[in-house]
Amino acid sequence: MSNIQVKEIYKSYGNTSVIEDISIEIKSKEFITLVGPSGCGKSTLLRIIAGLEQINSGRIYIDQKDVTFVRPSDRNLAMVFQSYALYPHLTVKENMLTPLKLRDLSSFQRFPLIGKYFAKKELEKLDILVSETAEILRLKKLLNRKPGQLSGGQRQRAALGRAMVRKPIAFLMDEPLSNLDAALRVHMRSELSELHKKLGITFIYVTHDQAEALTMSNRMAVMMDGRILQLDEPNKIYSEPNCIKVAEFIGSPKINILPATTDKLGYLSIGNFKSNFKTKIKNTKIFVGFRSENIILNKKTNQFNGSVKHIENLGSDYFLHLKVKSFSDKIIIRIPHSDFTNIKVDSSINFSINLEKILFFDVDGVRFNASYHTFQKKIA
Amino acid sequence: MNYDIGQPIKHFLLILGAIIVILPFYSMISYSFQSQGEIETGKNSKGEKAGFLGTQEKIVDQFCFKSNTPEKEEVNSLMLKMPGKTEREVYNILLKNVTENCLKKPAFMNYTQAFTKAPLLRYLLNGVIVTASIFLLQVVVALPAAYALAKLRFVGREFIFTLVLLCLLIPIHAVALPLYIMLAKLGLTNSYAALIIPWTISVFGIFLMRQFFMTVPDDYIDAGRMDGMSEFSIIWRVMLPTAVPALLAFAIFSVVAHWNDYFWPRVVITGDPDLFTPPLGMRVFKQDTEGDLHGPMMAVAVTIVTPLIVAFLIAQKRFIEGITFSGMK
Repeated sequence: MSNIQVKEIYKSYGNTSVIEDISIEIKSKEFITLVGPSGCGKSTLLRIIAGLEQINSGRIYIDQKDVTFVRPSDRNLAMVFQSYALYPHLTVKENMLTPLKLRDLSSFQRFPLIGKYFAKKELEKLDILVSETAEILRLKKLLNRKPGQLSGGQRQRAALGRAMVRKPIAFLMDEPLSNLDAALRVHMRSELSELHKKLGITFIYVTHDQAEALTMSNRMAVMMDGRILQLDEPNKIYSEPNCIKVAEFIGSPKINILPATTDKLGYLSIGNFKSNFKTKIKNTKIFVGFRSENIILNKKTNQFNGSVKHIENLGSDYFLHLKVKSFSDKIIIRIPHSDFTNIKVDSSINFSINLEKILFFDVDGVRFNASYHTFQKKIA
Repeated sequence: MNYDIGQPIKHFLLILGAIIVILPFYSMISYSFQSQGEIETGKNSKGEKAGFLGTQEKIVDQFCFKSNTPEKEEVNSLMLKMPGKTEREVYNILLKNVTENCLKKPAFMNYTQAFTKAPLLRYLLNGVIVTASIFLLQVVVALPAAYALAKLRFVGREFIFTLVLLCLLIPIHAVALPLYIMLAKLGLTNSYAALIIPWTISVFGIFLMRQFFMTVPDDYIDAGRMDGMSEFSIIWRVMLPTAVPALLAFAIFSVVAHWNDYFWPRVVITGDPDLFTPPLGMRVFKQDTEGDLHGPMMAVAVTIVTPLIVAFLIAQKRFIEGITFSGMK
């Protein structure tokens, strides 16, 4: 068991605060993703867990042991960097041996040129560890190459190898896929998920790509402005975001947010459309959100009419960007390939919102449950 | 065809520049092959033009002649074998022999004199010892300093870096006298230490390496820390290997400067000629009363610069990489 606990940490550079009161408990063997726009503090949080950054206040525990002031290498964590940071002058094998040598050999045995003659037994053991890891990552044939002679994906695997060899209690990954091309990135996503299952080690994964977070993780933490806005399973975050910011960040295309009101009896109206959908709240200004797929193209009882401003063809689906009168923002709807017939820019489209799937936010952007039976305002 | 008038002008200017740079080397090499007379008049004794290689008309080696001038005893012993000749006549015969034996081709004469009259091999060895020690110590000091200035956050970093920049502006000649007095008080003049110690801290080296380290991604350092390296291990095991092109550029600046340095060795090496560095070797042929011996002097000069030029040609590709490294990435 090796859980990692972060308690009430604050971090600032001069007057600019980067991390504000973050507490998070990472369970053993979990794949957790820290996701957020750039500058939200997710990489800083990862580096704090690694021990590469000092904090202003707070505590970090690994297995209930306080490691706040413990050196990075003594925390037994391994990190995979965005740039891979493979030592360019060493071969893949030497790269993988480096952390092992530093951990297992005395400084005398690491002495240049002559040290290795006094550490034959140890070096043999380390060689076995390296070749085991190379086996798992299919690196065997590349062991004697230098990083410059590897492709992007191979470098990625070599960097993983260097992190894996010393069997750390957790992997910290800082946007490890962002330097790869699109096809390889999708492929590596599934490889990383498989690797996580095979190794049974905690993964802490930082990304700005919500798709990576949704596809790979057991839990994900959505961060913004140095705070964790929501920490939950990916499907929960997608279907029950606790505020507009999270709703807007997760999901592609972006969720549609529209101003709405409820009348004296609690009936909801969105723009000019008065629905017979009854809510628990009365006479209030709110926001409603619905995802692009939660619409119905129905020619009899249409709620809205919009003109097509832009069409995105994704093959299986089409995204239509619509201008609907009474709303300033464009509305994006998703149409399956089969329903797409003769739609052009400036065509007129009639559609309805699936009111069952609608999300309610108060004027401050906090989501609440407004349907008949439960009315409970959640606190972000 | 579009004829561009700019091209010939550019080439003309470049050729002119090349000539200005090459001309001193041309004279140096040419003079090292010529006799004193040829150097001074451009003609040999028969009035033929000397040209690049000289005419190689044999001349008398003055050093040879002086050391073999007949002495009284030689004259006396020969007089016994040649009865009927006056002392003067015998002396002249001997002198003629000596002169004939000392007739040498100027090129051969200049280079043999360079290596025999001045212990040039010893000077070259001194040069190697001094420049290599200076460079190694400069690296030992400059790399950690540059690493700290480029990658570590500490109070006063900017101030210290400003001091480094200011030190770049101070010429060695300004501090030569205090430095000399310090070394003299420590009893270190006339020693290798005097030649090496004042140069061990190279602000230029610190500045150059700092600029290079700024371009090295922080991830390498973080990777080193995660792997368990100490800060010094990071410098020697991670930063040093990535900095090889920059170090090579610095090596050339440093080695050229100290190999060719005439000023500082002249100041601190006052007595012991065994400690002379190669440029001081030229002094042997600077004979104030009888005029300078330009031929051997130029032979020494050629011998001194040859190792540098050979080294540059070998390292040329990497050297140019080093100079342009700031444009990469």
